[in-house]
Amino acid sequence: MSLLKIRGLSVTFDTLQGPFKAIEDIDLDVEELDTLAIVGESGCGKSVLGHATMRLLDDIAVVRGSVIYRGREVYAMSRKELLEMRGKAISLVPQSPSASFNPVIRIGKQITELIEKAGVAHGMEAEQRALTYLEYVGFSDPHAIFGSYPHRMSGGMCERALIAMSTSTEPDLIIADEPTKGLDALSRKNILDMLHRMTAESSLIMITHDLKAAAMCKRIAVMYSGEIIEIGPTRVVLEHPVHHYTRGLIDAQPSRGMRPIPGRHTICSHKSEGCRFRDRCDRVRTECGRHTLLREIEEGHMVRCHYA
Amino acid sequence: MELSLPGNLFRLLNDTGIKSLDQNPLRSLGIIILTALVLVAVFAPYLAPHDPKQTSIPYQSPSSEHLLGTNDLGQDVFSELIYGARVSLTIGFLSGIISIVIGVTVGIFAGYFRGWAEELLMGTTDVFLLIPSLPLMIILAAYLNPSMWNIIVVVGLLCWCSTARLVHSRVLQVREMQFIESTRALGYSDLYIIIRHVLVNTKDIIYAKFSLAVASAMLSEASLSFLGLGDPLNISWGEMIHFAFSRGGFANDMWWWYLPPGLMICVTLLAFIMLTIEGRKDSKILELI
Repeated sequence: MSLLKIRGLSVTFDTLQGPFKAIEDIDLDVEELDTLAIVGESGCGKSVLGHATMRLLDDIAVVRGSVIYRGREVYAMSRKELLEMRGKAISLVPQSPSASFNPVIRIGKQITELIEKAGVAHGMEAEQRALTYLEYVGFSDPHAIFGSYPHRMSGGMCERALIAMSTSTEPDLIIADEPTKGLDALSRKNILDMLHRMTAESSLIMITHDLKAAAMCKRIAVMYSGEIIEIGPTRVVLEHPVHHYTRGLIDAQPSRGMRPIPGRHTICSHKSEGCRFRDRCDRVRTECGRHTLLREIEEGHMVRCHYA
Repeated sequence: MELSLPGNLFRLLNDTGIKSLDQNPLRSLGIIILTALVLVAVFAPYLAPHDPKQTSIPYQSPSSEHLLGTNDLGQDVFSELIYGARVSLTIGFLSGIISIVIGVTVGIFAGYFRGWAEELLMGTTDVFLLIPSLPLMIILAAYLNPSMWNIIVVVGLLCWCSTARLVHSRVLQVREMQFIESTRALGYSDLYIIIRHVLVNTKDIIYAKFSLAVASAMLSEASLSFLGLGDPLNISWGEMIHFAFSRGGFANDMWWWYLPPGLMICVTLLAFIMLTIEGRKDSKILELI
């Protein structure tokens, strides 16, 4: 049984310009101890997918499809079950680490409260556990961090503290939303090493637009305009990309000459018919106007392209 | 880690912002004045030289026997003033608490849950804001029995609207902040988020508003009492002015009868307003907004 099984997940926001589909028909499977990177440009729906997985968008969007966690439908869970699942079974490491802590409560207190809420430990034991995790994410003086307010820490420190908090409950699945955003090379490496260590016990979905960070995962899913356009084992996708968008994304990396993909990312997925990348694709033909599905071209490697 | 009691106590004091007092002399002055007033009110029986109800020669001007003279019944004005602090402060604090509790609850629930709860609660607030409160207070106070408790309830129930509006607008800002979303993602319940995260980040305006609410409640009480709607058994400062006015204190220029309670009302109000003066770094959330 998969740890997480997403089928036909679509999220539609109601905007002033009419309904806006942020993600459409997403199918994903995450196994135990699997690590999956979701990459793509800003606005392609990566974070929405992460949030929808935890059923955080109920109030503000129309969500269709199903998310099955250990055989239980997340969208059919009672409020109580849902609150129990969040933070304990599935943990989200949100974007913008400095803003993700309550500014008036000390870091240690916030971590301890989560541990107590999840029922993992209580009182002094919970505090001890918080300290252990702060040490685990590489703070040499966890006591100082424990008693610090968030505004006294840098972005990288906040990110580490956030990872310590999200993992202190030993979740089955960590969803890390842009964990390396805005960090220098050294901090980024630290964060990635740490996440890698965490994956010894948990599955990981890493949402990122940093292909180097994505390379630490076992699998990569590339998203474009709300759809998954290519998914497969990391090495295969990065070394032999099939979809033209994936190729463009790889070539746009600084190490590969930083050649950006011509054209603009269409944020609004109003073109429900046909390939969404066709306006920017140099191989576009008439067939591209027809709808395509993700097709398996080899074991575990699926592409949404007529030419695959 | 400081887990010992003194450490925690220090942290608690630090968190309430008392440490920042040295940078905020006006607020310190307000605290000193109010502490003194509260002590006077609490220890009134020991501090008052006479029983305020006891009568002697009326209309005496200030002397060493009667520091602020006597009134038309020969009661010692100074003692009456000291006992009046009890009544005025009790009414101010209790009405302030009632109005703050209602205002904060309405503001937080409307701001956090939005939707129909917001429309209902803020609509009600708008209706209450439209009612001219002093005339309504006068009518209510006139129809109800003249007792201290009625005044507390009437003032408390009519003064919560601006608090609700203020808290509501702050909550609207706080609820959209990243850490609230993160807290939801960690599986905390709405009630927990409201108490632990929203309320904590609203407390600076709640403190300030409470202070102002007590001040305005005292002023409302003084107005009602001046109009003769106060509790004749519990003489407040406003009522002292009322009696001075209606029994010839003003006409005969007996300043010692009407001036001290008026001054006391001013000083107390000023002290409460001084409490609300913001120091440089009192609110961490303000830096984020």
